[in-house]
Amino acid sequence: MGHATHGPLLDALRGLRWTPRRAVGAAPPGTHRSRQKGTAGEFTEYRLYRQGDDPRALDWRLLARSDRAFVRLSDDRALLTTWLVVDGSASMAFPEGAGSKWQLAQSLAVGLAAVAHASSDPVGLLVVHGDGVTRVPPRTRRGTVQELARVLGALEPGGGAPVAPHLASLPTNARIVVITDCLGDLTDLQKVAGAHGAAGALVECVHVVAREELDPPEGTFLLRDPEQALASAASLSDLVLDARGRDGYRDRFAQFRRDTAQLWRSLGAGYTEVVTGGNAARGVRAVVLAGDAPIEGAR
Amino acid sequence: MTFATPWLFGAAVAASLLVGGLHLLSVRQPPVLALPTARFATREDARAVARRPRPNDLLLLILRVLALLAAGAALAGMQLDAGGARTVRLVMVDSAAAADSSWRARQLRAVEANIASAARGEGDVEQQLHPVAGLARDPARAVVRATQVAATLAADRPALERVELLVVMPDRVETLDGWAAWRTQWPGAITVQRAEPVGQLVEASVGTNSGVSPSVVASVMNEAAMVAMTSLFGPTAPDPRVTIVWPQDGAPVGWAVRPVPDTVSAVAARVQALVGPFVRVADAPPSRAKTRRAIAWWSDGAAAAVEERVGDRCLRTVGIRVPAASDLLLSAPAEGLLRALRAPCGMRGLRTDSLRSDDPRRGHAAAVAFRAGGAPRAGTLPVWLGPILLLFALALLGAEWLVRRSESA
Repeated sequence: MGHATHGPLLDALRGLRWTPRRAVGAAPPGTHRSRQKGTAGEFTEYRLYRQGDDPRALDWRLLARSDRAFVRLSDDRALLTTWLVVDGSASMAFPEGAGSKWQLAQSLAVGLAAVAHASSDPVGLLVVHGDGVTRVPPRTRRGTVQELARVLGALEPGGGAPVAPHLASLPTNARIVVITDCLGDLTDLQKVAGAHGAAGALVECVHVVAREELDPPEGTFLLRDPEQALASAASLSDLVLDARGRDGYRDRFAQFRRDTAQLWRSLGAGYTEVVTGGNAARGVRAVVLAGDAPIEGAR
Repeated sequence: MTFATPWLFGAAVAASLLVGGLHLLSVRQPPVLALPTARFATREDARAVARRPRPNDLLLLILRVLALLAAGAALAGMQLDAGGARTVRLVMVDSAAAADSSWRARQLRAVEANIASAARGEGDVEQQLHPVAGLARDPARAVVRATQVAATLAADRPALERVELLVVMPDRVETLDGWAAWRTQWPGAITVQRAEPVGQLVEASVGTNSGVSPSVVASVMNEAAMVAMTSLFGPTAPDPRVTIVWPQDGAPVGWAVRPVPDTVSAVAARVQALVGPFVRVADAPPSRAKTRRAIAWWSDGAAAAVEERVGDRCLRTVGIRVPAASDLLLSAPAEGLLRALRAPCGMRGLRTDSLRSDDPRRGHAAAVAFRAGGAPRAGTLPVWLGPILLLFALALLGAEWLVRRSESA
């Protein structure tokens, strides 16, 4: 999937800014509010002068009026490195053809990269797929989004490799966006994400759900998990979806999504559920704007 | 086509029907849907068994049924062309009569005429003529011989269902003691056919021998026979009405001398058989005279000694060549022959008028009654049919495996 394919998506996201949910840590100067206090032009608060403060930060006028020495403080602006971690397991290839979760994940990754890159943030990419792991270091230069789109377009989902070990290798002073269907090593992933969040990382989970998973086709089917294709047929042949079990399936899947969302949020991470079947720009906006409600693509 | 053990083939047919029935039941499995969220579905058995109007996997069904039938036929001892007729009629005749081809032809015509009505419509009756040595003396021998023949037939012919017994009964026999006992051993009805008197086997009439004086008779008496008779019966004179003509060269007057003598292994008379290296040099000529009868037979049924009644006298002519120095006639088995020669004239035996056919409602003997005592043929017929059928069944099973594998691939 080339960059040209993402043109409408990028157009739809033009002007969108991705504000962190909290102040970022120490980082090179950028556009995001930093937890560091400095002497930038935008005044934030006064603080009593302490020995060692830069005398140039003294508010001389206030000193003259109140005979007290205050230092003018302002929030620093810092960059926020954004890591896009994309789950490229076999389950992401569902449904086959156009409109798969993988295509939606690609579009979301490109869209989020574009939004982050628009804030001059370095954007990196980590894809765990059947052939291994593809990592693109964070960059801020021009053409980064196009490069990420090209890398993503060259990959095919497959296998069932865990994402958590690779997530653990990412730095904690970054925004980490995990784009996954949460059907792989979810527990380990959440454990690592929780550790990263505690260490200061801004973790976002973009839960990609296929419409066919929410509403499977009518009829009676023997179900086969694409990620367990190597398992014996006998162990899979009795997973049945029929008219009687359809409601139960929906209930269990809905409960799973609720539990998953709750757990991500309890870890301090953002959670956005995006459903296949439409425009990915709405999904990107939902992530960027930290909307809690499930967002579907535009129909 | 028959089977040595039909129930085995029946079992194969039953198994084939079972397989066919199973092929009418279809196990329908729902289509497979790849769904990453399959884990949220329930585990249950989605297979549904349903009857179908037509068998599924027709090729597999054909292969399986053919394999079962082939193996069953091999194990059941399939026998092709094994039976011939389903009913065999055994016609037991005295071997002396059977040796007379002209008599046999006439007798068989009479037999066939008598039983034509019974045989008509059956369409599958094989008639066998069996000469029985000594039937003219003891008719029970016909039943004994018929039992042996029937048991053999029943063992060799699985298709045989019924064995009929027809005994061509002489007017007179020497004993009827065994008849009643053996008749009970025949598991069915016995048809008794009155025999047309056997033609006199001696062409030479007394007239031709009328000039023969006792001294002449004595001169043609075999020396060895004289010694034997004296040894056996002592100096007691035989019935004076009996004249024995026994040329030493074995060629009585009036007998047809063979251009090339042949050898015969035994002579039977009364109930005894005298086995020896006999050389037959002459044959008793056939005759239709009612006053003549055979009293000793070669082992092939031909007359070896004949008796002709002339008034109240008996002329007994013997065509057995015995060397003068031979002690063959001194042996115990020769007693039958010697007693037959010395029997009083006019002793023609017991009348067989009392021996009549059984009630036809008693039925004829079923072949199974004879098979029970014997060991029926267990293998296939022909013999190579069994291995061929088994190999065919194996080949079919191999083909079935290949088809099944290709379908599952």
